[in-house]
Amino acid sequence: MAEAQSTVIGAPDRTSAPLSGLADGEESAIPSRRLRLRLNPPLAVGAAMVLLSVGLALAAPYLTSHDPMEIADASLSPPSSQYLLGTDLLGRDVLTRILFAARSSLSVACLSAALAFVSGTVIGLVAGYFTGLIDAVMMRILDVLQAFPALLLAIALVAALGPNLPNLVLTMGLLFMPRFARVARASTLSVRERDFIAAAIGLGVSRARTLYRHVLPNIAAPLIVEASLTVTLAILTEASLSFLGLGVQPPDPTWGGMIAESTSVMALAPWLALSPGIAIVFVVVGFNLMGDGLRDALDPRG
Amino acid sequence: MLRYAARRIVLAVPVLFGVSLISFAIIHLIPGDIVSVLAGPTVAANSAAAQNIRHALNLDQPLPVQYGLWLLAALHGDFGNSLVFGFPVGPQIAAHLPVTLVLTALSLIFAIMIGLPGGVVAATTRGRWPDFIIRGAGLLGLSTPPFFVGVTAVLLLSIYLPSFKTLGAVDLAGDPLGGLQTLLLPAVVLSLASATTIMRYTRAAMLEVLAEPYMATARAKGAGRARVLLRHGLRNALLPVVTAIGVTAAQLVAGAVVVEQVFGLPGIGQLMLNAIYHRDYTQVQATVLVVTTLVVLINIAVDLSYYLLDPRIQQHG
Repeated sequence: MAEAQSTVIGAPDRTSAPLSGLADGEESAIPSRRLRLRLNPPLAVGAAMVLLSVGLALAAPYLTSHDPMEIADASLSPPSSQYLLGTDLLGRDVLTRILFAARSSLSVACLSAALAFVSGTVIGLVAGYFTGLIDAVMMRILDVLQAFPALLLAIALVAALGPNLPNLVLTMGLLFMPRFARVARASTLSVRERDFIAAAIGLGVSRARTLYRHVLPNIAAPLIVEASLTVTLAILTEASLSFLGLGVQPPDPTWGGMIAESTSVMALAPWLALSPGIAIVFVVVGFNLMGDGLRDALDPRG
Repeated sequence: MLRYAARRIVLAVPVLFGVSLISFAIIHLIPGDIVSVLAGPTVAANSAAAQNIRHALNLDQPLPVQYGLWLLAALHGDFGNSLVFGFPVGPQIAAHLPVTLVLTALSLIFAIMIGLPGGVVAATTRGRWPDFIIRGAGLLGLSTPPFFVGVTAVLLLSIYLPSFKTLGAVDLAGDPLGGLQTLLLPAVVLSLASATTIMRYTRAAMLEVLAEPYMATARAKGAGRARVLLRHGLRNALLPVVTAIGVTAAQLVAGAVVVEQVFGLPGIGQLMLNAIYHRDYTQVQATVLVVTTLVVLINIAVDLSYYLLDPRIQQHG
């Protein structure tokens, strides 16, 4: 399955991106060919959609006069000026719940992607730099993790550990870690053969410092692309788990949970399923466009 | 061929071993005392009853022994007994597997039927409107959770086409045609994300092949456009598409779990979720193990088909 990611790999050999801010403002052994992030249409549109979603989620309490748990005496009322997207079976304002659900969905997705990013990058760096037995053992572990259909393992693990926010982040972080580890390893394998690494070693730079200062900045670009695409998977996985009742638990609002609740009253209030679904699609399209745009912007061959 | 197949199967052994370890671990990840989780604190305090449960689950043995006993039994097709209903969990999986397998196979067929032509058209019209429309549709397909498509489809059909049977029992053995008909809509819903994956692989592979010198040669020697495209182009672009099908298999099985829930289909997903609601962890454990093993086997089959499709592997592999 490693082939699936080959499009992301390969970018690092000519990027000396101080993009992560790690090498910013410091002299590096790499001839500084500063990476220009040229804005392309998918990147601009995707980033705008993502910023809008994050902004709305952060500003949720100031945008609505309702409370996400507030139960009005108006069950299943259709969209109106008071309830812009109507109310659900319990009379809660749907728009308010969608805005607040964005907070938990986005934080679960971003935290699990961040966990996967950090742990996967460390594993990939170490495996790719030291090779040999460490590499072989780590790669076999990744093979095992990736053999499972991701959602199936997520369901089983969350069910066993208990469905709450930290367990969701932990489970999804573990599931997405191999993606970053493979990208980081492949990039590290190509970077470690280059002259400036030999120079750093020759200068007596420690291994940890070599990895952090000289390898990491050079493999950042494909990892950033991977992060954007992993967030989309994380949002979809969280939505699926919530839909199945294994996500963040009611009464806290989640998009997947709202769609699940809507199915029992579909004939009476068809609008209930549509708005949380559109919210999911909007955010995921945004991150997907951003990922595709970043790939084009960061790929020196493009 | 035999040597290649044997090597590929040997390579899968450690993976399957790891898969069995993680499946085994699921039951031990449950926080707290498993017996009190299963039977309630009252029973857990009653030492005789609790001791019986511990013994039935081999919980009175050291962990490695527990794992060994469990794996040995599993290799003989005995996945233990349901913690809730008492009967063996293996036959339950066998009873629910056909619906999921047929659903997955149908979805794969739809995904190929949508994705392959989509990718070819997008590649040949690169940068023009058909390409943009197909890639846009693909982006939506990849960004929409299948359960949302399913819920929307049921909703729309119930309004505009009330005679269409969207939900219903599936009896593949007794009424295969009726069962297939019921699975048709769920299969289309499930196929969309995979169709996008296949479309993207096909498009990328076709673009690469279209730039090959032998394509110009084929055109120069006077072969028709369709012939060049299909015989010289698609034929050489198919290999990455087979990869996509392997990637897609796991994606489809996982998606089926959710789609089955939308349409009330009695497949593996329903079995697994019911088991979770009943806290029937041996059933969960066995289902994860069996389904993942199937996915690993599918991937071996995909790898072996490379061998048959690509003579280059036969020389080097």
